[in-house]
Amino acid sequence: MMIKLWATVKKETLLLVRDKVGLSILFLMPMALILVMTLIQDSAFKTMNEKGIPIVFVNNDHDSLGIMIEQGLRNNDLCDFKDSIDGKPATTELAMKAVGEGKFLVGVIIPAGATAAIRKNVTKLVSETLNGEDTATEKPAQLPDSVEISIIIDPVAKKSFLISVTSNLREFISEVKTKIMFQTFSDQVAEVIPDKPIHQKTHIKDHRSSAIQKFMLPKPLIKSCPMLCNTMFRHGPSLPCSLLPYRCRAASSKKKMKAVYSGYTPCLLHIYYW
Amino acid sequence: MSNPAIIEIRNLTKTFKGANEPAVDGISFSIKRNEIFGLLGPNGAGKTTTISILCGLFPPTGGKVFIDGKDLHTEMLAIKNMIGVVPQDIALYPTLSARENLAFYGSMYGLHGKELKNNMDIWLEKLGLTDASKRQVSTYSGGMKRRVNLIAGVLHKPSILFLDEPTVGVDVQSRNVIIECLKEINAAGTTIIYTSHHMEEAQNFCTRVSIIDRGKIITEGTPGELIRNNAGSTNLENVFLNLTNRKLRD
Repeated sequence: MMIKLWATVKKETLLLVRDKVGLSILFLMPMALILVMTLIQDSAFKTMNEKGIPIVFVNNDHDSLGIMIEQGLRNNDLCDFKDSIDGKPATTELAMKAVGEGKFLVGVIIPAGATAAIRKNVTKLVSETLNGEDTATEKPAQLPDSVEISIIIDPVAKKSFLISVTSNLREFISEVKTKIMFQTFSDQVAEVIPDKPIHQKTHIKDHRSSAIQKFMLPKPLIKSCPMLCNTMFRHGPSLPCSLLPYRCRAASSKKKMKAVYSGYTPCLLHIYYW
Repeated sequence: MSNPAIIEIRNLTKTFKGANEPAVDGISFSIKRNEIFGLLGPNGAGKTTTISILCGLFPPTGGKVFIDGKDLHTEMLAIKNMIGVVPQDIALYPTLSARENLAFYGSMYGLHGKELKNNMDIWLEKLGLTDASKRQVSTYSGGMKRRVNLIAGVLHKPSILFLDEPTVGVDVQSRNVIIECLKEINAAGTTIIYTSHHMEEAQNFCTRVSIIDRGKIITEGTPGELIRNNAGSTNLENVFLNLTNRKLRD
């Protein structure tokens, strides 16, 4: 039985080795397939890669959110950013028409008062959280509770590009929200906590590395910490992520402190150095 | 002491699927040990079908076949080891050399090592293929391919050898060598069952012939007997034409 098996294997091997055409098909066809697929893929991506995705941007907000998204899209290599159509400043109508005509793959429209609406909501939220009541002074009735950013899509645009653009937008919105939240929060805290002399900062630093028990946050801040964390968990993932390590590991080592500090925004650093 | 039959065929029938008429229609004959039995007939007479059934390539629709006392239906494996087949078409791998082809076929019959090599050397020498034995078969002439085809069937020294038109399409020299070799094999004790369209060759080579037409045996006997029994016939070809008529076949 083994003799027959061995003879068959030997024969098949010899047949395969000597079949030049068969061998070349066996190895060259997959290579040709890869080559063809690569060329097809390349040509498909080429229109996107040379200049990026043609995007028309309509900024009706003219505030933090609009500016940040504009800057972000301008600096993104993936996007061929335009805020004008045929020499005219882009408007919602023009953008919709241009995308419909295939001049742009994606159109992004930031509504008027988007930043103001975010600011209003964040201020209200922070005030409620810190004071237990709505003390926000600015209550413009015309500002909506939600911000609706419109994205006009050419059906030709690939889903992956759209996902990329929308995820970028989400990132910008989240960043703006966080900034506004920090700013508002900082302002509110500054009102609650009285100004301390500069020498107290030095005193705190001296105790950090030597005595864990002695390293305590100022009383007003400790009191407000549960509330702070609650706010942060609910309204901004980046904030609790930055704060919690501080609370847990604050006095453990100098090295850890540095690592934690390095991740904070200036605003947050201001709070901790208080 | 009478020579016993090595092959016994009783009422053998084969009807292919979709065919209106049977390819083999209830034939019965026996082949004695050490005979050179010629199965002659025009195209489509049922010669190749009969040989294919005897080799176990496909089962009969009806009838019984006994080879060396063994039922073909129940003892196929034992029978396969004692038979050799030289098919009508060249059954060789063209990109392999004659030696590589023969080594493969020899191995399929259980030959290996020195025995396989010795047998190959002997047969290649006998059929004048030693010098060309390492060349690829695709470079061979028709006669050379036929000779290698023959060696592939006899390499394992079978006791029964089936030859389906072994000399078709070869030159006189090659045919002569092949016939001489077959006679030698027969002299060594191998029973040969042979089909051919060459009546002169069959007349000289076969000890007994059977003429088959439309799936039926129409006559059987030694070439001399058949010539004598058919008035006006001077050779086997005359007998064949008289019995199968001169009408062209498909």
